[in-house]
Amino acid sequence: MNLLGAELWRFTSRRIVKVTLVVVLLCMTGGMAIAAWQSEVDLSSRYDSYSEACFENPTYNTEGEIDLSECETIVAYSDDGRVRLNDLGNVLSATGVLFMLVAILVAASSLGAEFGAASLSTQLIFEPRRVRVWATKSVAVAIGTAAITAVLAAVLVAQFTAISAWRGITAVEDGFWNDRVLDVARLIAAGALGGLLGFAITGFARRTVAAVVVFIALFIIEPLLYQVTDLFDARLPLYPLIAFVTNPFREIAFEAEDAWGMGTLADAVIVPVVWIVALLVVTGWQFRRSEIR
Amino acid sequence: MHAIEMSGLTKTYRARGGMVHAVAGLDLVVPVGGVHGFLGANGAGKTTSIRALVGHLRASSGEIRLLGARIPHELPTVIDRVGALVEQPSFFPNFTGRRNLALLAKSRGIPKSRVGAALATVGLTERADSRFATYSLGMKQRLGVAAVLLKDPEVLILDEPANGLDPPGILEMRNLLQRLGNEGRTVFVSSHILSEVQQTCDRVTVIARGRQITTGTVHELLATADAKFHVRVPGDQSERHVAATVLTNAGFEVLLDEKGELFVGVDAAHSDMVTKALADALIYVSLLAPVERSLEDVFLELTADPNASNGASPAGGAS
Repeated sequence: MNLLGAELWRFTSRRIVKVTLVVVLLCMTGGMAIAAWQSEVDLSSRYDSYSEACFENPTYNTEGEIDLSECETIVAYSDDGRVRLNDLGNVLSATGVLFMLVAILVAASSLGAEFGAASLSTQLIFEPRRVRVWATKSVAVAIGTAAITAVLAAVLVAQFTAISAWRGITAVEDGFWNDRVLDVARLIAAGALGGLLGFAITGFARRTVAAVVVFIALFIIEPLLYQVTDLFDARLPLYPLIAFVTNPFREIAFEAEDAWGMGTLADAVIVPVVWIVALLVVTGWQFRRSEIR
Repeated sequence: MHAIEMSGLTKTYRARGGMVHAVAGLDLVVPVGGVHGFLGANGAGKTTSIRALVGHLRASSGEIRLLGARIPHELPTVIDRVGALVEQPSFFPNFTGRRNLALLAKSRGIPKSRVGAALATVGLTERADSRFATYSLGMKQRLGVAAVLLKDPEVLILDEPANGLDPPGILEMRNLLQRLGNEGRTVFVSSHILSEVQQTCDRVTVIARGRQITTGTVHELLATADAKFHVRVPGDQSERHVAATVLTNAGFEVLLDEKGELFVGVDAAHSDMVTKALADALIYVSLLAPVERSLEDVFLELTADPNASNGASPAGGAS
């Protein structure tokens, strides 16, 4: 526990963690301020009844879309720019991808800095069991990135709820908050997985910049591979993780090809988990055997 | 049980043009207590041996024991009794000195109070809350030594601890090492600042090309080296040449330096034979004095001869 405590302290003390958290919070707050400013308060009484009526008891057509004949002003409603609490699920999914990228960056930077400063050589004088050190570092990164994501998600939910109450629409579907709790839990898990993926890839690359280059390459190469052949469907690490965050599986008209070959949310989490475990085992083995400088 | 034992330690690296033997069958014994110097030129294999000793690299062959524990497998069983500073002190540049030490202390469950004590011991209290990146080389070195002291270790392994220190810092370091050695701890210190080693260490081991050349107390090393006597005879340069010829004919090793000073290689027990040989030739000695030799002289003599290490590694070394 001493080692984990020290690793968590080291992680949270890092400047990039604090700076990244502050920058993302400021960006989110700025975005929310703009959304609040654009919200048309004067039109709220006019559209509330339509939109609420529409969403409280929606009827769907044969293609699974909301039957617009029951809420004719739906087009005007969509264009009024108002903050609707009912959209929080979509906002969480979209912003969750950003949170996951933040987790990857922070984790990669955290381990990359250790290799860069060669601080591992000093640390191993205090704890020479390298597998234990590696495992503890990865657990600390997972906890740290999950905590960062939790903070960001909590602030997002709070800001969105407050703004929708102040200048928007608070009407929500049944079971709305239960679904949002699950969304936030999924985002936190994705943050931890993103952090572990960043950690594991930096374990190979040994440098933050090299790890970031690998991730950019994955972002570019993975979709190309999906387009060229089905061979890689549900087999590469990054886009399944993105699918886990965005959760396209809940869409009524969902098809596996929309989620890079994955059929369910379970697929989207299992694929990156397998990658992460494999990468952690290999890098851990490598760390155990390598010369430390 | 010895504090440190190495037997046939070998570390070989692949390199362009063949294998490089950084350490080539090093034998070393460091007894418990006192300050033990580990001497060698750059590339002799000092740092490689120390890195193997603290488990940072795996030896190609040979055996290492630290406080009786086999290294690297049993290192965790003795790590709390060992402190080490290997090469440059490596800490997080954006953390303060205090925080860097506190993190290390926390990872081992060492009380926080020891951080302040260690910083005070190395004279870093005033700058403890500055970022490591802002430290001078000497301050970084002090922080490295403070990290070594955190565990209150029985064995301290220090690789060039005086690197970057100014003269007062070197003096403080010397006093600290001597104090630690006098407290009954074992201080194993590698260095190539031989005057420091001579003043600080009780025992020394000299290595070259990855092998031990000699080991013993500083006094033993100075005594076993070829003794020389300065001989002065009355008269001019020609008299000294005659004296040199007489001594050479008597079987002594003679050196007449560029200033015309005469030196004879002879141990103290047989120095009377010099005066006798000259007196027999009717040359009377006005001065016969042993030449004071430093560890540096001995070291240079020992390491200059490539055959001194019983067949040194042909591929050279690395440190």
